[in-house]
Amino acid sequence: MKKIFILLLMAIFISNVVSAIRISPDSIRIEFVPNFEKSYDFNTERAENVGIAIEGDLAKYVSVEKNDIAKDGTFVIKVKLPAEIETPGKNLIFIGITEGGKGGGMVSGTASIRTPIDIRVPYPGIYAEIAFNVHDLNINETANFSVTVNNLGKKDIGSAKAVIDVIDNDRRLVEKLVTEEKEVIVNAKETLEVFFNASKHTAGTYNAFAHVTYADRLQDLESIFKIGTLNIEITNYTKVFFKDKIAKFDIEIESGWNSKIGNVFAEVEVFNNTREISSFKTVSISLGPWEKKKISTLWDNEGLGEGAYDVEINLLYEGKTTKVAGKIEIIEPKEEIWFKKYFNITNLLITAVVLLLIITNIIVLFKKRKK
Amino acid sequence: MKDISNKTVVALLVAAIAISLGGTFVTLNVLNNKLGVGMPQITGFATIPNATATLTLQTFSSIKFSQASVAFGTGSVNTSGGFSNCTLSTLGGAAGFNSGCADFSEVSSGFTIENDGNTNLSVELRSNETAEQFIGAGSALFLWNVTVNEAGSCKNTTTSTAPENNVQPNTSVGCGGAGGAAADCGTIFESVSVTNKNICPRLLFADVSDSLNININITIPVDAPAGAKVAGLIVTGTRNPTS
Repeated sequence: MKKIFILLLMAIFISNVVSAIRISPDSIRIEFVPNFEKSYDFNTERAENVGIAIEGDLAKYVSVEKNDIAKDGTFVIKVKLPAEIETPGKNLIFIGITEGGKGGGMVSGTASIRTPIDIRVPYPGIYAEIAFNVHDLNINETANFSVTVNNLGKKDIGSAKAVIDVIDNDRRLVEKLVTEEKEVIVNAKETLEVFFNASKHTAGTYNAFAHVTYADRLQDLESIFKIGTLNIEITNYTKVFFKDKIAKFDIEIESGWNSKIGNVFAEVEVFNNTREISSFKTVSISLGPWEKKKISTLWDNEGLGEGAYDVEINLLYEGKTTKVAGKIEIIEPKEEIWFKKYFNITNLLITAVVLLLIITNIIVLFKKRKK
Repeated sequence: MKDISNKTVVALLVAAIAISLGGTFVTLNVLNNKLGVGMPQITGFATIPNATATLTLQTFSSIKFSQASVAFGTGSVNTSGGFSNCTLSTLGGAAGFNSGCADFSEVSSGFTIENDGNTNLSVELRSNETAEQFIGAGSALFLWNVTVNEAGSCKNTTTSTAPENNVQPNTSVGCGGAGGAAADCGTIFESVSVTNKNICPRLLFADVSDSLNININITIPVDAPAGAKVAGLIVTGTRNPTS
């Protein structure tokens, strides 16, 4: 068969030089004003052959005023904006620098880094970006619900306020909150706040609807929050064990509290027809707000025999107890499981190699003795 | 004359040191109190209790290929073994790293890129060559596969929802959404792009979780022309959020 040689110098990426590049400042924000003009100093590493690239729809308004990267790692970018920009909102220009090529007929990974210049052009007339923030809290706490109004338009917003409806899981309106009222001038951001007192409500998940009015506009926003209660639920636990084995007893738990709970542990009792036959404790752990975790311990069921047993799990924390009663089952381990565990290919191969080595050693030993 | 004993010498030395230190102390205090030279009294008490230190913390974006070389050496398609394609990969599969190849070296790791600045970065990747441009044959393949090198390195762009979602770097359609599991996309190779493709919306800068792996996979068909083959990957980092 004809052998076709493809001599490939896979010198791809042969360069052993680590490619890295840095730029400072990492970002620039400009609130647009007609005929804006300013120079910005940039820093990078001093290096040869570093190119400066200017990208973006408004790149024509940006130029390199001075390039001393090869001398001291600095360069100056000049931004000179026109009297008007037609695209309101966020306009991005990227100042990028890329490491010079390594040359040598090979290709290496090349690092490039960019600083975004964000030019915020006001929208015509009234325009605002609005955000609604609520927080999870505990049943005995108050929280600050807030609406932020960011005026990105060309006109001041004389007054902005929000009415917040708090709806429970049954879709019932349980509270109506009204924020303070504020003026938001052009390019300013104001926060409208109101306190929410959770002690008047039960634990659970709630929806909050904010009806925000600003100037002559209305915007609705929705958010979800939870009111926590000091409770940890046991959501699952190990139910099947092999007979006469030491096995892991896992208990899955979930916190319903919006704060950390420390020193959480479980006491487990196993019963056979109301007679306690085994009891043990898990290790102690801590749970973060609303955290789900697995709490484990090892349980030796030697001598208990096959069958179903009653189990009672008591989860203890902060002076409280969550109790769950259920069943567990002890079964005979299947022969094939045991076989698969110990007689897999890897174990057999290792055993074969070890035996081969022992036999070789014996042969060598005998030969030496004969001599 | 009688010789001076060692004890006498030591006593004289101690006395000389004590007189010298005492003299210095008295002199400085006299200068300060009587002559008004303005020297502070010699005590351990700070007479100017407050001081102000000023500094400006500079934020900067920085990215690097911390492992920037992959070399497969020289080789060919193993036609004598009945193969019509040679596949070189930096990510081992069931068949190993390379398959259907003769003489090429095996390379067991690809590139690693690291955010070594102090801002989070949106990371884009592109190749300067398509597979055909690189190998010189229409049926050649040039693929990349991006995975997280350190757990939790790549996050989605939304910061307002807690906890932040880990994101598996985007390597194909349907992979890389919020909370995408590694199994959904971690082993997927896709064709390189010659235009910038976002491979991580937000690569964190914290040292314990700030790096991505880029593995490559190249398939060389038997009809590819002989010669040196070169290509390059360009990674671009941009601060995220942009302002």
